[in-house]
Amino acid sequence: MVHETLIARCVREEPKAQYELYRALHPQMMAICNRYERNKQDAVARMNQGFLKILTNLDKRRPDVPFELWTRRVMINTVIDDFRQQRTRKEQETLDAPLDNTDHADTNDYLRHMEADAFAALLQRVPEMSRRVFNLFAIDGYAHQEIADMLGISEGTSKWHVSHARQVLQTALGRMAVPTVKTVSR
Amino acid sequence: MNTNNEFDELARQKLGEQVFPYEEAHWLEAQRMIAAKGKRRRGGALWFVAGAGVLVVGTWLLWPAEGTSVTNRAKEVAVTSAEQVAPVAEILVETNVDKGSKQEPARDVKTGKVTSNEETLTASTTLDRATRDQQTTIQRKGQAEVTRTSGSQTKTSEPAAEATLPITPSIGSDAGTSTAIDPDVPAGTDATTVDPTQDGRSETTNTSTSGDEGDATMSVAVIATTTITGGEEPTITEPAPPQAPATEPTNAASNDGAATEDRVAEIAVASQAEPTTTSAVSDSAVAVMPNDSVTGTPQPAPIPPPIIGARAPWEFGMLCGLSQTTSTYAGGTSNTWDVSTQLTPAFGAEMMHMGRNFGIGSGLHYGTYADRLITPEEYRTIISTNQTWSLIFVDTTVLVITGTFTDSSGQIFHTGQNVNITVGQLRSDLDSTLSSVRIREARERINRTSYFEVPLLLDAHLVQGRWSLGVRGGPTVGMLTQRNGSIPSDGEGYTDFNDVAMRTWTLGWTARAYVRYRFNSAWSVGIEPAARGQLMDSFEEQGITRRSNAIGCMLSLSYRLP
Repeated sequence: MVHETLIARCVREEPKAQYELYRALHPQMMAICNRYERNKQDAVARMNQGFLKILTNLDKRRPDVPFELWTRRVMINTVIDDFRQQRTRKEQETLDAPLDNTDHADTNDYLRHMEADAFAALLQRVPEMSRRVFNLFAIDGYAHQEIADMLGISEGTSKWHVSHARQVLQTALGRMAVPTVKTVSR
Repeated sequence: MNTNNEFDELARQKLGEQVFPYEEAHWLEAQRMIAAKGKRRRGGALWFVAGAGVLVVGTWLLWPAEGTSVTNRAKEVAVTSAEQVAPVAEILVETNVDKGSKQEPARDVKTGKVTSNEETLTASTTLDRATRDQQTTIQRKGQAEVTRTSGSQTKTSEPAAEATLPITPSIGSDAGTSTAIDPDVPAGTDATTVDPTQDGRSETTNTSTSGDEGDATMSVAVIATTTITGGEEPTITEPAPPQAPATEPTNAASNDGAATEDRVAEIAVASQAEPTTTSAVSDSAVAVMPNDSVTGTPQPAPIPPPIIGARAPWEFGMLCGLSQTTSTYAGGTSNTWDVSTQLTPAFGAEMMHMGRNFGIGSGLHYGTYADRLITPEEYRTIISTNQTWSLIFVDTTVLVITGTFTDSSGQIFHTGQNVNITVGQLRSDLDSTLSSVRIREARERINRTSYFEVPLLLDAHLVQGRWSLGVRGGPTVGMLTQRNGSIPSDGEGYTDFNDVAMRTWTLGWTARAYVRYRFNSAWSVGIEPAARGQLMDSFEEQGITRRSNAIGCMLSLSYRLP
């Protein structure tokens, strides 16, 4: 919980207050950036970029908006803005055929007992665009229409990316799950 | 909750469980970014202050000279009622006498002899400029009053006001009689030249009308004082001999008055022959005030020769200076790079066709855009998955059939024996390995591109005396002459710039504001805050583009062709 006094000191550009705010927001900011970026270096760069935006716009923040929500929104916008800037160079991802079906019930069960870092690493294997859309939809709770507006894609494409990300993840989880031995009785 | 929603919820929970320990290195990097932003903001403020300073200095330098305002004030005074003016003149004349301790000895115009003249002391010379200006205005009030009192005999005293102070005593001495402003006042009368009782508006002065050399009339005193207030030390001019020397004492006054008029007029003309200051011109303007009774045609005020004479409008200029380049990289991983500004030299030569306020021309500029590119080391995280097979040994019991028999009804029975054995169960596993590999080392490198640019220059300027203030700028076409540096590759390592000298062109712009001081009609020097930039990317490789702008300051030397 960031206190208003600390925010006021940051508005006055007190270095010590900026440091305290950075420490307070670090876990949240890093978690967001780490989900969206492919490696840690990019995540740190994006986090600092977002933190700079937060500092710059502190005085423009509406007081009725909770600070944590506002910073979260700023960080996500930073990541998305950066993605839009780089989009031209990104490889075009084709809407390929869906992957093989796996037993979702088993993968969910496996995921439930999985290490958080292992799942985060698994998430990195999802193609970039699909990962971003999945993050926006499944983790950050944006609607498909909002995602479509943010990323400049259609709503249907957004849905496809979410589905694709799920399938990639579930397939990987399905492969990692311990195969169960079934006895057949006659 | 369907399986998809459950999967999303589980994913959210899992990612929420992640822990990111705080690292001081992250803060150090953030701190560097904060400092860089503050520096940029301060840099902008500095340029704003510098620009404002140039504007203020330029405005101060080009503000109209105070002589103009003196003229205006004098004109205002000329139409002021005499009742309001007379006491002021009285006071001032007395004041001048009192302050005459530091006077310069007067020179006889005719003989060149230097004489003392207490009445016409240059009290104003000991005053500061502001006081003199004020005194000039007030004394002209008195002068206007004197002129009115003396009637039609007095020629405008304003041209005479430009005559030198030492001239005044000789007027009386040349005439051999007293010099009175009022023709009704007899010559040789001491005390005043203007009867204060005549119309109740005239003033009393301490000046004398005696024919002694060195004495002066009130009007002379006023003239002399006004002369002093003109600003600079005027040139002494030999006057022409009096046209009609007075012989009859009874007519002396009027004759002397006429002689004085003529002499004053001559002196005025003579003194106007070499105007020295702006205020002298202003005084001439006062000379044609309606209140002055002018018997002759007033001499036209000479116009000082312009600094830029009838020379050709073509101007050749050379300039050099330093610029600070700000480059913007876009695309690729450019957002992870740090770009700092670099000082680079710039040179140019221009030929301009200059009009009164506008000009057009072209030239050749050579400029360099350079920036220091700081790239952090780059890591790549590799996730490798391996499928492995393994045997898991499980203890189990196996029933072994040991015999078979058939009963009487033909039913077959098997006999068996339980055997405890261990079996190997084959299992498949998927191992994930995360490894981080450095694919690019950190590097600082100065990237530099140089151009010959041909600009189309448009100029707007104001000229005030020797100073001119203007702006100049326009589009440029640049030809790349040098390009060196490198950028991080999209994959690994760095990519050096291609050597494409003289084969790449670019469009840009240039803009300058300048303040120039003109030494003479030909040469001038100036200081010119400048900005230039590119309208096209200086290169585009691997989806990475670079565009540069620069701001700086130039020194210029200009020559106006004859």
